[in-house]
Amino acid sequence: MSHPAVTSPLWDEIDITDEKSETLAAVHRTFAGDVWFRFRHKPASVVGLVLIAFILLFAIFGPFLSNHSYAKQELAFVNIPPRLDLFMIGDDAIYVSRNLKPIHVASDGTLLSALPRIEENLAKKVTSYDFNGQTVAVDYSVRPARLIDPSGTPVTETVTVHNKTYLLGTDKLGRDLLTRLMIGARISLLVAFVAAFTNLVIGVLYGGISAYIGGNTDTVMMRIVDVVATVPLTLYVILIMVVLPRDSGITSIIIALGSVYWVNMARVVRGEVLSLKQQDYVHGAKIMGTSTWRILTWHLIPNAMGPIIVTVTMLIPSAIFIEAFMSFIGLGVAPPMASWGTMCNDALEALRTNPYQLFAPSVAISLTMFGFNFIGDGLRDALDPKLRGR
Amino acid sequence: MAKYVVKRLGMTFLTLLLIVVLVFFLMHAIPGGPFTAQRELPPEVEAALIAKYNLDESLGRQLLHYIQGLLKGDLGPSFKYPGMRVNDFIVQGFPVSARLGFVTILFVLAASIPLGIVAALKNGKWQDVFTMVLATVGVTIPSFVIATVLMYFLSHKLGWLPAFGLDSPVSYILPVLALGGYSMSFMARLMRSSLLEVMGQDYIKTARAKGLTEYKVVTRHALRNALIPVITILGPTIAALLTGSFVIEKIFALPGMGKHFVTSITNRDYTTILGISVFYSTFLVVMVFAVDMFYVLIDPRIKYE
Amino acid sequence: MAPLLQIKNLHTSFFTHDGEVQAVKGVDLEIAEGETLGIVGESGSGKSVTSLSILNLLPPSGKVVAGEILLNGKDLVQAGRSELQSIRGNAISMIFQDPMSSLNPLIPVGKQVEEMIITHRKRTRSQVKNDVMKLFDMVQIPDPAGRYRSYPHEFSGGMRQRVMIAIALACSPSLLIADEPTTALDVTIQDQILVLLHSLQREMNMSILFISHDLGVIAEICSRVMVMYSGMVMETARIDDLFRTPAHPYTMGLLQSIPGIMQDRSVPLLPIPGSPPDASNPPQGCPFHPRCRYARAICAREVPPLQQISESHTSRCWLLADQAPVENNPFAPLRRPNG
Repeated sequence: MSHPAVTSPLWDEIDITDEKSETLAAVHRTFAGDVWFRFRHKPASVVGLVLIAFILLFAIFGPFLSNHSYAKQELAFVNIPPRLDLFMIGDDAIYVSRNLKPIHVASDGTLLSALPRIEENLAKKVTSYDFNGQTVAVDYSVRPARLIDPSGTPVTETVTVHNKTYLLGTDKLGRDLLTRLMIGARISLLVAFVAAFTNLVIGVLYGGISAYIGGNTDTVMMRIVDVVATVPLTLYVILIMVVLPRDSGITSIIIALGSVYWVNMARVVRGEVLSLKQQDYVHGAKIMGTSTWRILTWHLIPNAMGPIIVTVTMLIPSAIFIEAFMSFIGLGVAPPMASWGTMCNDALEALRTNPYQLFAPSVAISLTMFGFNFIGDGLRDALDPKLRGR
Repeated sequence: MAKYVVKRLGMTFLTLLLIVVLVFFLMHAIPGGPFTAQRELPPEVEAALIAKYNLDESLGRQLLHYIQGLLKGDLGPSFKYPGMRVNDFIVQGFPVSARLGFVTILFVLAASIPLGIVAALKNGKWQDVFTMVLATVGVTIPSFVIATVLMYFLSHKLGWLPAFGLDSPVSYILPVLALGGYSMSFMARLMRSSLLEVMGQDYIKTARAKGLTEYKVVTRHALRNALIPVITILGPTIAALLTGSFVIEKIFALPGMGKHFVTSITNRDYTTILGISVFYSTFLVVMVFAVDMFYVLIDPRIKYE
Repeated sequence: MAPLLQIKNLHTSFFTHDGEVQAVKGVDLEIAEGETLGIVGESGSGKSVTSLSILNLLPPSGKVVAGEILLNGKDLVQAGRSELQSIRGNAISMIFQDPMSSLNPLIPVGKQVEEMIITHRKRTRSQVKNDVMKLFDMVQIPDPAGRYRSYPHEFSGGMRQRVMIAIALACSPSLLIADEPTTALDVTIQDQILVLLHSLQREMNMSILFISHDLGVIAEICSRVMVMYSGMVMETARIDDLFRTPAHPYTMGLLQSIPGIMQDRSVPLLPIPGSPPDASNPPQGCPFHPRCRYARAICAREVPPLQQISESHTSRCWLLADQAPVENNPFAPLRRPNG
């Protein structure tokens, strides 16, 4: 290989200033910017965020946009599914419900009215109804039941349309499921947020103080937490709910949840503060004479924010789950109030015949849990200090 | 090591004591004493009941009586059904619940550990992705949603599996899946992350540097270390199965303790609610203690703490 | 005489989310039988990765992408898995930096040494036990019989490293690779371990590849040394030559930043300015040029080739080239006459 000649400019000395040698390799970002950058590059996290945003909108604005009230019972339209098999009679249609009551339905799926009964023939298993002056009959001697049109011929074909009046169908008391789902969203999310927030405050303070004071106080405080946490927290919630007066609904669940679930947060915060309080800036603050309270709130807790936020984000689906769980065993909000848990519970009885009543709240709960879990996972990874600098 | 055992034993007793006292005082926090809330009793009967159950004594003495009863294994009478005692419910329901619980634990362990191991060893490949997707679903979707959805599709619609009771081996499938789904998924994820972390450790490098086959590296060195966190959460897992059983037994109409518990909640049968709570807590605390002792056997580092 | 181990043009990279990171970029080295070769460099220089590449103990994202590693002529890069496994621990052994994390915490140390013997030799149970005891003696672990069933956490750092050495030497390997074996130990213990290694090496006529960031430690035990920077070999020399006539600005910097106990206080300690380059985005040309006070324009453009200074001394620096100017060139007197 030939080397360039001595006089070539390639041999000129170049200036190596400290600047050049100390250039930072990584792109400059603020802490929050860094976290957000990593968060939004994980597809699952973004999906979670979108899901929760949608559910929040659903819960907050949904009931205003709905034509129905969540509590109004329409006994004529009990247990109507979201998709209807209509028997066509001319331009009109008739829907035969699960309990064999015919309902006059417009051909676009709007429910009009229940047909008045004329007579019941138990022997032949045929019941006749008045349809705008004409007589139609429901023949339940065959399965599935069929409609007999005014001319006496059985109508065999059905047309499937979407229920336009009740988009998700109705429950056993004729209440609109969609509106109840929206209200349920409000209840479930409200309980979850307030409970999570309460646990946040109690847990952070308890864990922070315990770790900061340290020594025997810390040992005793944590022993208390250990003893409390040995028994399943669900059991505590049940006991508290049983003791609190009935029919206080949301309040009692929030109190019950808030009084027990903070133990996890306390442990997390204690762990963080224990390691943080060894840091030099804490010593510096103490020497400057900063009060304990200020050190905790200004220095320690903000620096523990990462795990705190992740834990809170995971507390929310826990709370939703517990609320639904309580509803399932009969300790939920009282009717006519609806939460997703009570909706699932109600739907259970009629699972065989009206499965659609279960799907709406189940999907709602599942999507919400997914959303928060994905956000929580994404936040945990985005806040992980080991992954920084990428 | 003896120090460790004694410490754990002490904690156990403390916890049990706390539970009993808590439960006892909760019982007395309920407006209206036992036996008087529901119906109007003739005064002689009321007096007799009060005498029999020491209701006229001070709270402290009543607590003592209660504890004495507990030590004898007697959880007191039922509030709602004067002829029945809480023990009767437990004796009726516990075998059913125990069977379900036992089979579920076996399922959870037998499914989650191999799944987690395979996912870790095939990190990034389809086995890993598949397992993790499944586990994420199992951990996120609540057990009663899984239960009801599975029941609808596999039982009502397809008729493959029975929806109620625990008569045949087949009838175990749905309840066990629903009850164990969450724990199985959680454990699989934990097994996977634990094994992944262990495989990155230096002593695994040493094992390979010795010329051991990959199989021996994993089985002799990695697995034992990786299983430790998994065993640690066996205690909380049993707790989760226990509380999960309330809902699962209700959904599948299994006459276990969970169902009795839920019924007593609906009926506001206070003494039964509290009696069964004491039983559950005791059972759980004992199980956790047992797991802790087992933990000592496998991790030699504990002995010297 | 043919060298025991020969590495030719080794390239090892890590494949991450952000793409390929080249950790070793064309390294050549040779170790003769019974010789101790040292590799010195900062973190990120590629010295550990080079050593791990030999037995293919790289983490899952790492891979040898090019080059040959010849053990007595046989290429280890091409070797099959079971062949490699029969060489590991047997012909070539390795010890690592942190003995606490390098030993399995759940298995008694005696058993961990046994495992090495059982894997490669056919011995009876009692023979194996005897072998282990003898090894413990050899590495000077007191009370071998009593310590047999102890666990790693019951030993001190120095003792643990002795256990590691016992494991490594159990099958009398021809080559011992020692990756920063003394870095995690106290200075006095460091010395003990170095003395032990030195005597064992002479006893067994074993070659040692000794990796460290500490030139002082290397000087104590190695006869030849290789200086690495940013995945490349910067200088290779006999230890005396390196100290007396260093032929690379980086080496000079390393020598100038070693504090000596007898050092003249008025001579300042000169740290090398700047920090090691980002492996995923290395500078163009000579990797050291951003921190080199003799840097020329050509250094920022092209990677310098290895220049031969004497039979055993090579260096990768443009200032050693025939055409390099003499002003401000510390290596001018080292250059070989044209030819």
